[in-house]
Amino acid sequence: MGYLGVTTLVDHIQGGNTPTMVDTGVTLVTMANIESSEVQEALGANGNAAIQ
Amino acid sequence: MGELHSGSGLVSILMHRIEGFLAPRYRGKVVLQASIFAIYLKIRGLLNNRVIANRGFALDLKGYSVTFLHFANLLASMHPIRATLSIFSLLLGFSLGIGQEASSEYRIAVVPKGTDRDRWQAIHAGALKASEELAAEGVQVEILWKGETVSRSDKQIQVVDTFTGQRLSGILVASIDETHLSGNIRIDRNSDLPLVYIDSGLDADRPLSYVATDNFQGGAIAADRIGQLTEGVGNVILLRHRQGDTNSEAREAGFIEKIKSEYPSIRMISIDQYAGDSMSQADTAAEYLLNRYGRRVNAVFASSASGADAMLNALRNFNLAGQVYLVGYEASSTPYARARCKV
Repeated sequence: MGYLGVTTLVDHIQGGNTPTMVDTGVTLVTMANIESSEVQEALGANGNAAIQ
Repeated sequence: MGELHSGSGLVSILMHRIEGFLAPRYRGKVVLQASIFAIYLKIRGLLNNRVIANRGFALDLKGYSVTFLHFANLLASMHPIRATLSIFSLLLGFSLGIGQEASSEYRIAVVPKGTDRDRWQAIHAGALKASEELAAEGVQVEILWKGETVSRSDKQIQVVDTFTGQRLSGILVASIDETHLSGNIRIDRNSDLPLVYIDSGLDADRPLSYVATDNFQGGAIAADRIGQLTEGVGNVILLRHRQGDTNSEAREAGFIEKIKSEYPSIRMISIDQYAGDSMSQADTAAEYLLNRYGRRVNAVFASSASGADAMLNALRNFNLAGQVYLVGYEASSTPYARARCKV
């Protein structure tokens, strides 16, 4: 959310089209995928909502 | 262009503040002074602006002239002492602002709901990551992160207000109370500072963009997970988050609708308990639920991190861990623990 927020703003400042709504997506986190890089990124850096 | 825009934004804000002091008597000399000052500012601002080469130069010039004409008229109608004070404050603001320009091309403020939870830390990390990636592309973005430890909307409005007086390219706000903030948010009304809401804040006047999770769909995904774990049969508890919190309410609605429409053999035995904001309140709700339904419940969906954490503790205390499925919403460090102990 922080990531997409900043990139959306910079896009706008630079004159790009800005969508009214930006969906971050939802990641289902289970025992099976908790170690995967996609989930790690969602939990750690991207701030996506995660479901366990 | 970013700098010029926020520059005229600053002038507009100041003018709005000055308007309250008007005493329409004095003209002449002040207009002349203001015009000279305006020209000086314009030249200095343009010289310092590195982005103008590839942006709408003429448009910005026009915007500036209109702004300063308005300002000059305003000054003419003021008492000379007040007018002089205004000019000095403007001069100070501009020299500060121009001084900051060299360090970063864009300055973006990020205002979270709080600073305590992992979630906000993750959002901060995301903003910094974007800044690093943009720096690699040659776009310098400075991230100004400021939240309050207490998640209260009046505190948050104060934080937003401190940013409105600064020279910014844009601001991200995760609004605590959408209606309250939108009613008081001055950047939205008095300046052209680009505003993007993250997480929540749909009711506001005109944010540029709204970056958020589809919470309704998230709730539905949780329902599917419970349906899969229980093989479509059993008793389920929904531990809600907080009344009036649009995000968690959307999750809860998505969950209930999905269970009702797809899993006719799953019974929702309790859907009216709230975990609330404090850990003690969440613990009380979780213990109450297990006292009352502990023998019958097969799965729990907690729509917030606090509820999920409290329910996990309660399940352990009631020796139900390993027997009852728990699905919790939200990224925090505890889901790791939860996942590892196979609740």
